[in-house]
Amino acid sequence: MAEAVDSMCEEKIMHKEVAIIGSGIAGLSLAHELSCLGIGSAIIDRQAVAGGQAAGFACKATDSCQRCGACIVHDYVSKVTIDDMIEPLLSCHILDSSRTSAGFELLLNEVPARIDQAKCSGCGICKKVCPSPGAIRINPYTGSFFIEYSECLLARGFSCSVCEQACFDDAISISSESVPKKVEALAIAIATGFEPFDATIKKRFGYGRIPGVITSLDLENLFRSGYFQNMGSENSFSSIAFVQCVGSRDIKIGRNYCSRVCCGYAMRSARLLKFMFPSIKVTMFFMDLQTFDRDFEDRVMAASREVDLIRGIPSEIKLGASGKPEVVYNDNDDEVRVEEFDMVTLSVGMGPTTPHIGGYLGFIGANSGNYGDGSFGNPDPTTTGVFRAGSANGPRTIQESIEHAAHVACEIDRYLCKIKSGVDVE
Amino acid sequence: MTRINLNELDPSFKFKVASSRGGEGLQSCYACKACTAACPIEKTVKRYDPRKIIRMALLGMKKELLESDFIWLCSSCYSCSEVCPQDVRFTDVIYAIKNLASSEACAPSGLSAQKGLLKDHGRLYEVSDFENEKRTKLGLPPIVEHPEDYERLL
Repeated sequence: MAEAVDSMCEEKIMHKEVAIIGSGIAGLSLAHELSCLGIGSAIIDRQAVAGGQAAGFACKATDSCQRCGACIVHDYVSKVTIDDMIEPLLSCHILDSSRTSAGFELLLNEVPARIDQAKCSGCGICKKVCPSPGAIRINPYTGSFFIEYSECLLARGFSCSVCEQACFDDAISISSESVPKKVEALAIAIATGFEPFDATIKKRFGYGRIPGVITSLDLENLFRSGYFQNMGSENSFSSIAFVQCVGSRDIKIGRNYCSRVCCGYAMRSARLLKFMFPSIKVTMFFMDLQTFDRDFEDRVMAASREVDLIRGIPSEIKLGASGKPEVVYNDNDDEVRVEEFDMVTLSVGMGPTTPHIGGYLGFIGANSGNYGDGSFGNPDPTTTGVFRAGSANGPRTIQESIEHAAHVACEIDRYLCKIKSGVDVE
Repeated sequence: MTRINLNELDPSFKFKVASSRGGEGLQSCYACKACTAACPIEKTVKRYDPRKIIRMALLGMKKELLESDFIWLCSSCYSCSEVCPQDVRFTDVIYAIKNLASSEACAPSGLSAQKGLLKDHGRLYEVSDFENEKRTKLGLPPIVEHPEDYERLL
């Protein structure tokens, strides 16, 4: 297979010093830091738009900034876009990877349906004509559209070019076959981020079964889509509960670690909702509040005046008689209560994506690691030249991912100096 | 609020519970209260609070726990073990505590009376002529007690 691709794309081999897998906040900030050190990189992502999961988060500012970090992603996307040292390879799937004498070789496959972001004027005609709902999406940064290939009919083996014919800007290119690409790099950085916990696994919380039970990522989407903003004043939305540690600190599902971000985002979301609807009742069920931010104590104190903080995880969420979720919990006065809420948000934890990437990054092999086991992130003879940045290396917030990426950039710089000169620079 | 006298606590008690059969999970408790919210006994008897019992054991409140009446209230429904994210298996922990209480001769008097009944009659109720007469009227065979079966089980 490698030979076939070689002959097809001899002129398309891209040489970069570092290949970064994942264009989330860790990948973007790593590319930026490397560029500052004079190291060129290629960012590979299967998504058509850079930004990763953090790009889908909503700003949590009330009347003042709550330092959630969601806006930083926008800054990094624009920094990376204008940087000549960084080559974004979006809409690209990694087919195969191998270790060569010079470093690494990655074989990519660019999906055959693309919208040229520079040409797209954002008229939206493609979205209107597209027969597959969800295939054409709007880029939150630029207002232009992009194709989510996994939803596209082409990905399912159909032949369709309706959007290409409808486009006024000539921005859409639908080709019959995908374009292979090859990247050669001296080092590889894995910045594939995290996988949110599948809340349906915790059956007693009724996610996917009881209407009104949502995950924190669903809540982000509601914020972004303007669901709360468009509710109007005569809505019946009067209570919301947050249940912490769903899929974190849970030995039974093999995740005996804290996800580090949930207390922060639940607290910010709770305060934002309280700011939007001053009369609603916001309740937060927690085990203990983890304080990782430097001003977290102040935020907890401020939130405790607005939010009912209940130390205790509910035993179950039931479907109430009125069709709303009912939470069974033991309150701060040791009374068992069954309380009905309009909405219950499960603060889902972070899990590793490495089991998935192990498939195409064969050379990492069995050492793909997992959150919580000590081997993760440690240098290993079989993975020399492979680095992990951001939450691919353990649960991290946006700020922590940026900090970690800067640290990894220095490590990569040292590694490159070493392999180029043969001298270990301390 | 009751005051706890630290001088009267037994710091080794938690290790004693954790090393007895069933008590292994005691020290992994995060005090998340899910067990208390799920417990059917706690709903009617406020004194029986699984989370508090675990805290008492961890603090070393040996005397208060072993001499209490509430540790005997557990109905062994395993609801607490079901919801526990840390796999503490509280039902087994309470069994370990009850075993320790028995070995310290703190078991309630009713329990030893029940034990005596089992020993003498092989069941928790004595089968008298009254029951057997009733059974004969209903056309059922009389019950003969076999206390030796129980002895053999022990």
